[in-house]
Amino acid sequence: MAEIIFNEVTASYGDSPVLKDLTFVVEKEDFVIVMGPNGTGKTTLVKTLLGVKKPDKGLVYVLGCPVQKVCPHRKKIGYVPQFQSIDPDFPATLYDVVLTGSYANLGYVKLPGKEEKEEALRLIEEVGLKGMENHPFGRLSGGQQRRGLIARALMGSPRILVLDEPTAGVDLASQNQVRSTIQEIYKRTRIPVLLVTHDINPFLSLVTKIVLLGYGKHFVGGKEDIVREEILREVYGEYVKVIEVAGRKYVMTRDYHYA
Amino acid sequence: MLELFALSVIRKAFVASVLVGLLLPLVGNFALMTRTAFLGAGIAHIAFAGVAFGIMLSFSPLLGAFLFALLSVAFIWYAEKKNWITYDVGMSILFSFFMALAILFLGLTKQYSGEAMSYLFGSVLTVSTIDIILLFITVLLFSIFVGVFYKELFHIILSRDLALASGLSVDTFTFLMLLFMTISVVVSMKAVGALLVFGLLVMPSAAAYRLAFRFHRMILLSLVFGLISSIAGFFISLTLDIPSGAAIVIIAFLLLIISFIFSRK
Repeated sequence: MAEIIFNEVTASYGDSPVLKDLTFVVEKEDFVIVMGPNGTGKTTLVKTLLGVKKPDKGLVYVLGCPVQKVCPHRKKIGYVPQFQSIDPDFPATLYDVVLTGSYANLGYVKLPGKEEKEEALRLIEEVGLKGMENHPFGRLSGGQQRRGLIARALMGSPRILVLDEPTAGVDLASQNQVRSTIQEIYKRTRIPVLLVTHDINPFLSLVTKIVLLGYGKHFVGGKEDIVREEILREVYGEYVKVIEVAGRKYVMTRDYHYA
Repeated sequence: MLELFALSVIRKAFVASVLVGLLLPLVGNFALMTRTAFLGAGIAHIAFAGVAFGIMLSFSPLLGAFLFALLSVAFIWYAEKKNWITYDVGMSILFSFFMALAILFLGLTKQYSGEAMSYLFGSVLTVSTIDIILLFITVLLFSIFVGVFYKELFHIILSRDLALASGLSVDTFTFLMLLFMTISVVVSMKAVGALLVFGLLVMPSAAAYRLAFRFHRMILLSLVFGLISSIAGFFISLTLDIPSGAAIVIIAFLLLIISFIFSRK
């Protein structure tokens, strides 16, 4: 059975439906990109997948279990939320934040033991932040915070990784580090990834499926089906261009001043 | 001065000061980190309207305080959950409305009430055994709550989104925190006063926030600051014969200034 199934899901943000009859599946080892202009329901899709938001219609299954019901598999989703600014003086270290990734599996009351603590340190090393365990989390750069949250999401060996715009709000060098971290994790673990991003080009070599959300419409398909000018223009308008360099496709925006 | 401890009223006042010095900063940590500290000030003033209501109708002022404060907080929690209003706006409205009611009730009482003034300005020497028992039970229950659910509370403070995504019942925990804040403010009012309870709620935890790099250390430091404020304030009020609530809050403020000076943040 597929790892994630969205079956004719309609979900609203406030009173306006942003997802309408959306159907797609995520299989084992899939790398799925969810993209689309702002306000087309990308984060609503993620919240519906996590069971935080109830769809108006349709069903969402994670690892064979409907998320709207009590579903233990929800805990098997590693989640990196959208960028949230955190007070630089917030009283928590990187290690404290990564360790919270074990809380869902521990359940209420039980505290992290030796195993969870060692896993947190190992994952901090894995995302390239060794030596920064005791740094205040709020004092880390945007990119380091993002990598810390990726380490957090990997606690407890999740079976699905969901990332909501992990490269948004960080500088160019940090974006690169975050992208590399995601790529390395996917190549090593091969767990299915659902990545919400506007930053599609660096991931095009890994992508197996794209969910393209527009206002009142959506397109789901493989890279070859979606990364085409006529499809992207349906959603983004005339200023999108697809170019091919050395056999690789890139999605560009044309400067409308000179269009 | 120690000979004064032979008097039961002084012993009770001291125990009440210590309990308030532990309870309010403990609650204050969570209020500060969830940006709901202003609710503490609002709750105290709403509870004062309950006190005035109780005095006017000749029933227990403490019961009136609980009734008004708990109903108001339950309403604000629900209204915020439904996105009708934010905590700040909701509390600002209820704060002024209930203060108007308090003034109205006291006006209708048509006689000077020393008891109302003791709730407004605080008078640790007037605390009863029942007040101390209530304080002790609240300290005990809230300490157990924080001890047992520390990781869940920390998760919510760190990120509501992450806590929700982990399947945590964020609404339930938020409600329980508000409930404990309400009870703590009401049971502390007689010792510190409705006008000053906010100071002891916020200042020790704000001072601890300046110094601690981890949340559990912030909690411990805030308790130390709360105890220093309440014990030192108590002895200063006895020595100089000044109101205890004012002395406690002034010490808490001085500790906050010191924490800013020594902060490495």
